[in-house]
Amino acid sequence: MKPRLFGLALVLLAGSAAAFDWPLPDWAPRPPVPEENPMTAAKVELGRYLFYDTRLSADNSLSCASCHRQERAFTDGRALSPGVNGQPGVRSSMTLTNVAYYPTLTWSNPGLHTLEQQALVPIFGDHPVEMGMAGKEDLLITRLQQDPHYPARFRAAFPEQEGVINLDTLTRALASFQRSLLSFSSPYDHYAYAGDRQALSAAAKRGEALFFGERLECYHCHGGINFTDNHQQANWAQAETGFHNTGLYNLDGKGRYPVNNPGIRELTGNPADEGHFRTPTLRNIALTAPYMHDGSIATLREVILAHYARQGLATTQGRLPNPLRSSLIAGFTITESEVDDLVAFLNALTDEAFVTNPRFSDPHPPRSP
Amino acid sequence: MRCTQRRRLIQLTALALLAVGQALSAHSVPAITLEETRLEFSARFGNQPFVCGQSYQLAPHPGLSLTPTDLRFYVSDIELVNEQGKAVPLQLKEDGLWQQGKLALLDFEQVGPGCHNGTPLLNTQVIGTLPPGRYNTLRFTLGVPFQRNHGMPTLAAPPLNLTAMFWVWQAGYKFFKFDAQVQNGQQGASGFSVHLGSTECSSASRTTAPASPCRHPNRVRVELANFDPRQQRVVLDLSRLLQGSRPDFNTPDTPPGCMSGQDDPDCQAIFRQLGLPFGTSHAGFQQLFHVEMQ
Repeated sequence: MKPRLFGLALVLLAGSAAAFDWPLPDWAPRPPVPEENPMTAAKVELGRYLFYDTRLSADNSLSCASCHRQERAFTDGRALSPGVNGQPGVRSSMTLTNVAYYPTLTWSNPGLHTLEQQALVPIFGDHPVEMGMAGKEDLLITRLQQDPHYPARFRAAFPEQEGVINLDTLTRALASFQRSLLSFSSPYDHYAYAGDRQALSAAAKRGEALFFGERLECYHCHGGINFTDNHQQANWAQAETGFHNTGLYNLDGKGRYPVNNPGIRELTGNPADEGHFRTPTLRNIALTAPYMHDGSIATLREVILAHYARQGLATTQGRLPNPLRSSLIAGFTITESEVDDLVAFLNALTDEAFVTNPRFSDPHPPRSP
Repeated sequence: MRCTQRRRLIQLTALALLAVGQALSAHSVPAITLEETRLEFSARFGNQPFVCGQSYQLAPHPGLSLTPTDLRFYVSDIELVNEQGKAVPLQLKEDGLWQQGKLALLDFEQVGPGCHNGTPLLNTQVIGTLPPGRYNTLRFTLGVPFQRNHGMPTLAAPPLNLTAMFWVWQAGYKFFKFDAQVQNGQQGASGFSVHLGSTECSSASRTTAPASPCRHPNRVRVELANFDPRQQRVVLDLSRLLQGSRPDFNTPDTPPGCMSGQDDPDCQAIFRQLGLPFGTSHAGFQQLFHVEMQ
C-alpha cells in the first residue's frame, strides 16, 4: 500500500481557519463553546455538509436533516421519528433552535452535556436505532475519505490535525454547525429586546400578559431568553437545568408514564423522577408540531386546552392528575378568545429569518435522478 | 483555631487607595485593614440538615412527609453592629456568580439524586470585608432591593440571572424559593411551594417594570442578636417556616402553597412566621432565621 501523502502545501493553502463571527444582536449573550472545540467558519461549514449528508446512516437513507428540517425549525413534523429501515422511534425530534444554550441535550438525559457527545447518539445508537451505524465506524469514515470534497474540507476545518477524518473531527464539526443555529429575530425579539413596540399585534400582547401571568403559570418553566429553564451562556459560571413532569400520563394512578418513555427516571433510577422531561424552548414553537416528547398532542390549542388547562392530558383520558407532576401544573380556566391571544403570542416567537437563512440550508448540489 | 483560619486579612494599603483616588487627595490616607468575613448559613428541618431530594417527616402531622426540590434565597444590605452600637455594612466580594453589589444568593439545592433542577453548585456563605472590631449583631434583608428587582431578568448578570428565581418584570424576583413534593399516606402526592416576593406592583403590563415600590414589598428585615461571625452561624429552619401550615392542603383556586398573594389564605401562617403583615395582621418578628454556635 502506498503511503498517503498528506500535502503540507495543501494544509498551508487551506490556511488557519478563520475565526467565527457570531451573528448575534447586541443584546443577546454568546453561548459557551467547549475549549477543545473553538468555533471556526471552516468547521461550521464542514459541519453543515455533514449535517445534510445521508452517508452518515447505514443505508444512506437518513441525514441529521431528515429529522431536523430547517423549514420546521429543525424538527420533522412527525410524532415519532423513525430510524433506518423504518424502525420505529420513541421520541419526537427536538428543535435545534439556539441549541448551544442548553446545558443538557435530548429530552431526558441530565448527563448529556455537549453536542459533540450528543452527535454519537443518533449515528450509533441501537436503542432505538436511528442512523444505524453501530459497529460501522470504519464504513462511515471510509465513505467520507472517498468523497472527492471531504478531505479538503476536513483539512480546512482541522489544519492542526492535518485534516484527519475520524469520529472526533466528525462530531466536532457537527457540533460547531449546530452551535451556529442562532435564532433571535422573531417579532417578539424585536418587541421585547430591540425596542420595537409595534412588532406585536394587539392579540399577541394580550397573549404575552396571559403567558407571564399567575393564572396560566407558563413562564415559570418557559422563562429566560429561550423560554426554558435550561440555560447556559458564555459569561456564566454555572448553568441552570429544569426537568418536569407535566402530567401527560398517569397510567397507574401513581404517576406512571409509558414504559418506553419514563423520562429521566430511566437514567436516575429515582421513582420520583418518573415523567420528568427537559423543558423545551418555545422559540419557533408554531413550526414544531406535534408537541411533547412523544408528539402526542397535535396542536398548540390542544396543548393549552386539553393538557395544561386540565392539570395534564392524563385527566382527559379518565385518569387522575399525575401526583408527580410539577406543582405549577394546577389547571386553569381560559376562554376561547384568550386561547387565540395566547396562540398569537406563541406565533410571534417564530423567526422567519432563521428558517430561511441560506447559511443553515443544504449545501450539497441537488442529486441527479 | 478554625475561627482564625476563617478570618484572613486583606491589606488595603494607603498606596492602593491613592492609586484609585489620586485625584481626590494629595494627602496621605491612613492605612485601612479590612478583614475578610464569612457569614455561614445552614438550612435545616428542625434538627435535620436540609438536603435537596431527601424526605422529611413533618413532626406535628403523622404520615405527612416533604421532599424538597429547591431552596434558594436572596439576602441584601447586610450589616454588622459593633460593640459601640454602630452598624457597619459588609462589603461583599464580587465573584461573578453569587454576589453582586449589596446582593447575594444563598443556594441549598444541588443537582444530584432526586434533585435535577436548578444549578450544580451550593452556596452556603456570604463573603465580604469589614473593618476590624468586635461585632455582636447581624442585620440583613431577605429580598432584592427595589432598584434591582425589576430589571430585564433574561439578560441580568449573576446572581440575578436565574429563570427559576424571577417572576416577571412587574413583580420582580422571588426573594425566597422553597419547593417540595408532599406525600400524605391517604391522599397521595402533591406539590407545595413558598415563593416570597413583592406583590401588587403597578405597571403598564406584566413585562414592564413598576416606577414606584409595590404595595406589598414583602422584604423581611432580619436582625439577629448575639451574633459574632467568627463563632456563630445563621440557621434557617424550615420547620419554623411551616409552623401552622398544612402543606398537604391547598385552598382551592389558589397557587400551590404560598406564592405571596394577599388573597391566598395559605399565606397567612407563612407570613406570620416571616414577620410580614398579611391582610389585617400586623408585622411581627421573623421566626425563620436564628443563630447558633458554629
